[in-house]
Amino acid sequence: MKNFFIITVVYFVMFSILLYSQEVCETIPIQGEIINTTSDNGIYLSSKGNLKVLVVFVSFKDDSSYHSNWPVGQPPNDYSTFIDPDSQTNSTIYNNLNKLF
Amino acid sequence: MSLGSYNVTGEVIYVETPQNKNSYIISGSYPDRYLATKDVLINKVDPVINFATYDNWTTTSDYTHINQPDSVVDMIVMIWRGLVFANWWSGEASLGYGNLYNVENGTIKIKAGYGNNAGSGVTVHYWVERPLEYTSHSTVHEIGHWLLGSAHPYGGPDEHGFWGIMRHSNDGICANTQERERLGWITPTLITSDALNVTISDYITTGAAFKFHPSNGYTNEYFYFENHQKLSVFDYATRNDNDKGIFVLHQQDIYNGSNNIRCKTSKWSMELDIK
Repeated sequence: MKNFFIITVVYFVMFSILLYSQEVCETIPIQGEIINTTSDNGIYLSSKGNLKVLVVFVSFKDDSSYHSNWPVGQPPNDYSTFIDPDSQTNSTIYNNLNKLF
Repeated sequence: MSLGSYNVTGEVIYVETPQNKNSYIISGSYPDRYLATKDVLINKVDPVINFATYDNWTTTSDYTHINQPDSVVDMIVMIWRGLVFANWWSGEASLGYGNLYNVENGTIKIKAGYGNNAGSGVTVHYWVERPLEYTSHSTVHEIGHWLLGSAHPYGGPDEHGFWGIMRHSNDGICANTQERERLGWITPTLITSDALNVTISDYITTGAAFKFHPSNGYTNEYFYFENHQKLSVFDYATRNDNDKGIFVLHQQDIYNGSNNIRCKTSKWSMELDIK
């Protein structure tokens, strides 16, 4: 019983760590990067005007693992609304990049 | 978030890698991200996409950008099925680092790094047991690094309940006042004297916000006030639809790369004594 309790606790802790870890951004801070507090623009990309973005959903050719939101050999569910082709489309879908910016 | 001043548009495409996963493994158990990305973009995407469409900007220096092509692709978002390059991260602001390569018969370049004139895109892991919403949040965050810099001011051991582009993808991803102001998307009203019976419109849909600089505070110390009424599906300050009201953000100073305690919110324990 004691071993079962310990295993359960360890499993829970490991699962929690895994859940947290997958939210991590791998971007490494640039040494010496200077933030300009008086600028009203993006540092490496403009934050004004039009930014055209190519979104590539990609899977490995031999990936046959099951995933509930992304069928094998096909694009993921709802992927076509990920970004609007132009600003006139005006999507109101929750995952739309245009509106999130 | 930008209220129309920043239009992020484009197209989506789905492809499979030209080779099996093991073909891209150089060492260890994970495939090499740079090699896999390069192979996909050159051999699967280039034949069907005109990359020149995605070359519209030239960066002359940090914060200075000209709306004209420079023969380098501006932004590609590579979204991979599953945690294929590592099981500990959801996104990264580059295309895997490494040498630049050419597409469009050598007329357009793709750069694989991150920073001033160093890259052409970001990488996102689609954590497929979660809905696409989380992937879109990760994408906003990674593109956000190109707009706001490389730091993570709202993470780490001192993290608090927070919302913002630079938060994790499972938290509120809507841009906070400090971010929207820095990007030139809104101009918060500066409070310089008593502000009684003030009306604040919905933050997300109108961009209305107030900011206050304590007279005895640090140079860059501000309190920001936002009214989140959840009128928009893009109001991700929190994921609870009932979390409506005034949200307060306290920035003690510009994030210095290590001290997350400089940024607090009203969701955290905060004492306010503002006059």
